[in-house]
Amino acid sequence: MTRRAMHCFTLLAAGLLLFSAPALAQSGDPLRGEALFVGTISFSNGGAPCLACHAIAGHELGYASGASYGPDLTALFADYGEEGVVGVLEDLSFESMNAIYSERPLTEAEQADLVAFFSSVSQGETAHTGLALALHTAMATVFFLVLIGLLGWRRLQGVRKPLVERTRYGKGEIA
Amino acid sequence: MNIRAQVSSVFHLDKCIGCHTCSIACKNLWTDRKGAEYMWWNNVETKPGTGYPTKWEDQERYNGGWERSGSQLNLKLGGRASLIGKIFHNPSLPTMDDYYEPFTYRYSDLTSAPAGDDQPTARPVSMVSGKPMKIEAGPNWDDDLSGSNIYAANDPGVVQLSVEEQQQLFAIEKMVFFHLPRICNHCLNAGCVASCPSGAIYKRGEDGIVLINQDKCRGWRMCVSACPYKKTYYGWSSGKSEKCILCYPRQEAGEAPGCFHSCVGRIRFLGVLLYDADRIESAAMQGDKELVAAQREMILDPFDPQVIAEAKRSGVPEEVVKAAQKSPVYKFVKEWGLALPLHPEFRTLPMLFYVPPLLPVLSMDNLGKQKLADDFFTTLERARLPMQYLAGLFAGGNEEEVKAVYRKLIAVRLQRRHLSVGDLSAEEAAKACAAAELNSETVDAIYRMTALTRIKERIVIPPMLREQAIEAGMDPEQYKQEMGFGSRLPPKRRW
Repeated sequence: MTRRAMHCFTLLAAGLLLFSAPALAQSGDPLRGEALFVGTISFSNGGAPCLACHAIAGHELGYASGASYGPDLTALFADYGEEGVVGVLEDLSFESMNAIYSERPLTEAEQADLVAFFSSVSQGETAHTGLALALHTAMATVFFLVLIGLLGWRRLQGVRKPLVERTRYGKGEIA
Repeated sequence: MNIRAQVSSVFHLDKCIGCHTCSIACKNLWTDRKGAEYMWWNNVETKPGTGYPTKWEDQERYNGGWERSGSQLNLKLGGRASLIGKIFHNPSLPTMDDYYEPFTYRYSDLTSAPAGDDQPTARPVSMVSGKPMKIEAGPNWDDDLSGSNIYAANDPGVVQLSVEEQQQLFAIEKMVFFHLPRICNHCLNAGCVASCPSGAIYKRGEDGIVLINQDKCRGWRMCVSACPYKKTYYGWSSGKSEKCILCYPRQEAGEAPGCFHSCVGRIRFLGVLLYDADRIESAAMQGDKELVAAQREMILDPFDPQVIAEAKRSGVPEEVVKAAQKSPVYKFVKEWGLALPLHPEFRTLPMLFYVPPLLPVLSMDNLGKQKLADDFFTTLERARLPMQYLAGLFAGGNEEEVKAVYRKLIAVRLQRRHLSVGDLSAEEAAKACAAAELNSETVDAIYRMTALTRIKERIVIPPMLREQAIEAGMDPEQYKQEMGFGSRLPPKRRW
């Protein structure tokens, strides 16, 4: 009975703030999970916040699915299911993560919070293709190239060499 | 009146033999360092020629010096806002090629090359990259080649002449050149000081020497552009700009600056001038042709009791006024009116003055027989260098200023010829004196100062009175104690 009530309560709370909160996420707090993910709350053993490497595009974390190092985690929960995620969070034994987290493991509460968070975002849209990012990058590149070009437009290009070339070969008129 | 003292100099171009000893003395003393190889705080140029860096006189390219706009004097490089706008991309810098790529030779190959059929050679290598290079330019590349159709023909002063005058200048057997040694002019209205975004450049209050504070310089290189004489240089290893310091450490010890001391032709005169600092702006605002006269007007008579009293009021020490009375520069510039500033039209009020060269007589006229007094010396129009060219160099285009100097130089020569050779009549010499508006005693004084002086008469270093200058900033006792320890800045602690 209490279990059911708790389930209902968690579901309600998560549903109000986020989209959904299936199964084991019950024991964790998805809001706290998000804070841990982003880094506004530090992991108690000092591990780096997930956002440093991973994005969750479905939750608009990490620009255009582009947090640079690890894969996007929007569909993590949907792909691996609760057990899979729990298993991963327990030891984080990927090569690149192991270096960080082997000595700074996540506590059980933190793991539960993260699981709750991952489950709450797993319905999000992952369809960011990076097109917007590419477009923005291209625009910024063009802007800076034009700017540099304009600034250098009237730059002194050299005096002696054009002078010699013009006199000797009748070319290379000095600007 | 706000009287200040300025250590100034006169270079007598008729005496310069173009040996570059001054340049080498300076190089050995100050710029024989990594990153400073290309710098020549003192250099000697052949004129007509484009100089170092190439065409430095052409401010349409290099944007140095000042220009008048309405009632204001602005840096040609741009105003304060414009300077900040270009702070990361100063567009008016000479390239390395315009100075020259410094080089050396791989001398070790001469002794270490394996035995072979050919003579070993020392290949030229760049002092920048260390790789073998083809030498295409140098700081005195066209030395003694006034007829060169690249460098001499493109001298900004020559380009302004008429085609006929240019042809005359470069005609075979009429070709002519002279040497122009250049150091920092230690200007009264220095462009470098005004342009520095870091406020690192200053003019020493007690002697007017312009210096770059190496602790404050941040290497923006605005001074490199703003100096129309291109006499500030960027140090590629130190990341700071540097320039001629008029050997102030030597002067403070009573020694002549290195280039002055080593001068073989004894062309260099040094002494202190008193001037009215309140008149700087109005003098720099004059029209091109009035600039020389305005600058001469600013220089004050150190014998005038009123000037002496004013100098005392302005804080110029009595010893300095006394040194000003002995200054050969005062005589050359003001009393005799023989020395002119280089390119006054840049409006920086340069305090290095030149006695223009009275070039040798042509012996072509009259089938190889020289005709001196009758024609040549009295008809300036037939001078070997067009007056317009010289006026462009030394008088902002005012030919009258240059002619007045030449009349005096001719008067001195004719009087000496009359006295020492004797083939000229006294009347002839007197006629030249009258034309120059000089009496024969003055002519004699000019001759003595030009030809017969010893180093202490040519180079009158004022008492530098460092204690008084130091006292203004810190306790002289503390200065003495810490002196020699080098730069002592507190560490920069950010948090």
